[in-house]
Amino acid sequence: MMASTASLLTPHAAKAAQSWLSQNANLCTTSHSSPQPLFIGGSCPFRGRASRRRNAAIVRWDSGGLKQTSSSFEDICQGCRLQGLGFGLGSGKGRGLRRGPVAEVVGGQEGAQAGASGRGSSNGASGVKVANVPPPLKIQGDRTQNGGPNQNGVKLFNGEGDGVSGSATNGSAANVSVSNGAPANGAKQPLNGNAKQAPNGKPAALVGSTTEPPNRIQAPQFGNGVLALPQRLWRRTLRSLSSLELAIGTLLTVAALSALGTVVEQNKSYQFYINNYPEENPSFGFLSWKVLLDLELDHIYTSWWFLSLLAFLAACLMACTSTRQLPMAKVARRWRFLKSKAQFRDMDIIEELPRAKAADLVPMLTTKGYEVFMKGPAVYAFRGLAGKLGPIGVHIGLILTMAGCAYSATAGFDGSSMTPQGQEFFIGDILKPVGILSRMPAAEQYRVHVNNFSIDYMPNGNVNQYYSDLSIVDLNDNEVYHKMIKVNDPLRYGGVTMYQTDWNLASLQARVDGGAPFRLPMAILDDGVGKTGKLFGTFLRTGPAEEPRGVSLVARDFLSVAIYGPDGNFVGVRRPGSNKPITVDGKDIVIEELIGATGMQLKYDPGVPFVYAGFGTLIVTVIVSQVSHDQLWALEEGGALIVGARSTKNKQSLPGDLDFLFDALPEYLPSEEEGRSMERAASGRNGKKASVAR
Amino acid sequence: MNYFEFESVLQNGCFISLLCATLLSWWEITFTNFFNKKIIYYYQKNKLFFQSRIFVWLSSLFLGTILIARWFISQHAPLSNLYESLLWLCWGILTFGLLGNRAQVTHPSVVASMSSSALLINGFANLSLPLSMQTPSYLIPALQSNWLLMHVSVMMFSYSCLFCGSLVSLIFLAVSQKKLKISFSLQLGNHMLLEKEKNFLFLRTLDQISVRSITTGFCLLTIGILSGAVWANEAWGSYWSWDPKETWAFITWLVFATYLHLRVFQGWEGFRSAILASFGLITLWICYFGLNWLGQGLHTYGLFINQI
Repeated sequence: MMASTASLLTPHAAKAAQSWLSQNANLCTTSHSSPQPLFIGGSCPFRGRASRRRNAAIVRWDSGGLKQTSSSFEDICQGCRLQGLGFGLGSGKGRGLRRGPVAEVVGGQEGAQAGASGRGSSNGASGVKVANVPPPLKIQGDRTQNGGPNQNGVKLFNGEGDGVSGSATNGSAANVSVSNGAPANGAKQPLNGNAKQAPNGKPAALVGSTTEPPNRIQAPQFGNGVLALPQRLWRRTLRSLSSLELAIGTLLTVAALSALGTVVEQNKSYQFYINNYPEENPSFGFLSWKVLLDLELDHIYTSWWFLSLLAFLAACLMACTSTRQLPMAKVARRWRFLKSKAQFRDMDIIEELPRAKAADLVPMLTTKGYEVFMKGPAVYAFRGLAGKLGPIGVHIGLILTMAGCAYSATAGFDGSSMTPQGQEFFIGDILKPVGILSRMPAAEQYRVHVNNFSIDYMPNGNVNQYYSDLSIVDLNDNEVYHKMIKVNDPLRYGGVTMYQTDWNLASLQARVDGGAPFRLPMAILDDGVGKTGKLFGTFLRTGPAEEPRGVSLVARDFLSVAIYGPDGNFVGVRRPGSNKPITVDGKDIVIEELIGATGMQLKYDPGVPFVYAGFGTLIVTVIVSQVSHDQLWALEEGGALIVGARSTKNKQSLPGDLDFLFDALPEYLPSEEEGRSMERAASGRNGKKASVAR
Repeated sequence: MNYFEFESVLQNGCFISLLCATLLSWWEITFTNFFNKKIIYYYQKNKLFFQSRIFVWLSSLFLGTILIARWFISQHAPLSNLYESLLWLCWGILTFGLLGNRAQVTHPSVVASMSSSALLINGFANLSLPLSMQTPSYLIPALQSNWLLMHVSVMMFSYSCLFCGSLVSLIFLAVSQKKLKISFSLQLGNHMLLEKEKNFLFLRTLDQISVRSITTGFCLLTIGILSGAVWANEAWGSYWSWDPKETWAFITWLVFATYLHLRVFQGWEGFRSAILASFGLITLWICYFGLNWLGQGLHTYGLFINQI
């Protein structure tokens, strides 16, 4: 299909294009001296092996000026060849998978014809073959069909058109699917039901989506070797796993079970469940503590069925990414020209502009950031392809995160310590393995020495911050590292991280009757969870050894100690370090100091880098996915320019943006002579398109 | 004037302007539907229509000032407990709910829903929460971190966007009383639109507003959850501990991910996606607000049941 050169460019447009090209010479892929192919507005997305020598020549730069040629279809490189991709779930229903516009189908037909000589796997199942090209869709309100003149033709695609989008197609999409066993010899056999009407009365090939490009899975050809059966089974599994309903169902099940875990208390003691879920009066009639513990509802998030469900979700994700998204990314980068007006359907906007030229559209689109391809009278432009590739990144990020979590769960170390001030512990003693892949880090040999533990209080007595002064000491008693940690500021050494999480009062130092100071260990009287704080107490014996007679010393924090006499009555309060004695039971007691113990959480988590990498990927790609993928097709036919546009995220503003563009398009009023010759040509030759005279 | 007087002036101003915004938008809705064309034309000609937006911006300004004053007084980001996060949510709803929509698109029904919910939230925060929670105070050690601003503010913004989008979906459900399959391959011309077409356009606009808000909210929710996980790792050594709040944020994320997927791949536009978004609203509200009644977990900064 070779259009005549230069006939499609008016002198004005040729000049405009020429000046644009000279200004954007850096976009040209080759030198200007020899006629080499180049693309307007961008470079070929498929610089792969197949396309190196076969760059699709769309526009030729000639020393004599800009000329336009269109190469024959065969010259288009393998990557760009319009392929219909096939998929089939075996059931052929194609539920949930979207179809592209009819262009895909027609292109597939041509592609199949051209590549029918069994060329490799990428071409093998040029899936969607239509036995016959369907008649054009009757467009509501299309006045051209009435033969009258049409002004800015307005096409309303409601009512009838509705049925083509979304839900109605799912049932009728059956007719366009391809079974897995597409003939290996590339014979052009029409597939079942392709020529039949869809159940809702529309011609089969009209099914399509408004929003999404084809969402197809490659169905490669298999030989009859030994690996054929496992390969086919593998393919079948993959395809079943990549079903959207399955994934959504799994997602919602995970959500529901997680919600259950917030209602049923997790990780409490046995006694708790016995008390709260009694057998005599089970919740919901069946949920006694026995049932609860058997179903592992006390630790839902680490139960085998929850983890299996998560693993299944991960498998669905991976299947979806490999079988759908990656091919979709390849398809989305292809440019698909529409060859006739009838193919303009299923788009957000379709407009017909009389007496406009496609070539005028090109520089305007490029200034708006589109990448434009032109082939004869047809134009295809897109921008924002990142928005199509973003979701792939999201899935990959999710998979990476889950892999990191799985690694953490099987190869980490965990542990907590409560160390009084002045004492130390071995890191290796505290760290306990979490899973089967856990390998103790080298830091196990080091000791952590708690030099000091202090609490910083605010004027009103509330805690401001907890501070622990720590030293890491090696086997030779050398200090290798030193840090004062606080909450939100952990110590990291050798891959092990130590967090300030808890504290206790360990002991109380006192002097009785001016004697030598001694320390009394303190015990926790009240855990203080959920209430105002912990309570620690100790007992100072004031009577002879045989009598259990003494003074109770009780403290909540470092600020004050309350003293109770032998009969339990309150005697007084002292601040540690005030040196003020208190007389109880005949003895003068001076409370010198409260010594604390610092509670730390130690962790060794080799999966964290992967998890963080997954997080970073997710954050970036979720934002990138918001970029709108806009596509625009144009076709010069019958003296008018038909433009169709589609957008994923900009539907609301698309009409306004395009109106701006269309208003700027020049309209070529025919001169009298041209008009007469056009009429003559149109009436004289049947079936052939009238060519515009020079 | 000390700080408390200053803040109470602002609070009162905010409340009054929210009240005006709500009442005015309700008035405007009534006008567009029930009165005859002459009156409507008069109001449109004199640009007296759809001015409830002004009161919304005014209350947003008041709230913003309150938050900035709190920040200044307490020397930390005003995000430490339920009261302050409710104020952020209010401010977020008012600002983001109307920011994404241009003047001609801000139908009074949208304004009515945003302002009435902001009014209720603001009223609850100021009237029902205990005074001890309302006074700016010190941060507990676990919250003394730069992550506080990063994580909690992003979460509040995401809650605002998701809330707005779900509210608009509720309006959609209310306006479309039957199932409507909305096709978006629609091109407008210059001819006069029928009532049915106007309704269709309005519903389609609502649908678009809803999906854009929810998409933005979803991005922010992702970032918020992930930053929360990183913060938890820095503070407690575990980036995910299945805390109720974390779990419900995850559930909300899953529900809205379902919304986006079904919308894009199954063509669930219009009525069905509005149902999904309403379900997401319930999930969101449980996540943010309902968990305070649960009383356990690491996120109990907003616990007020014991204090009431």
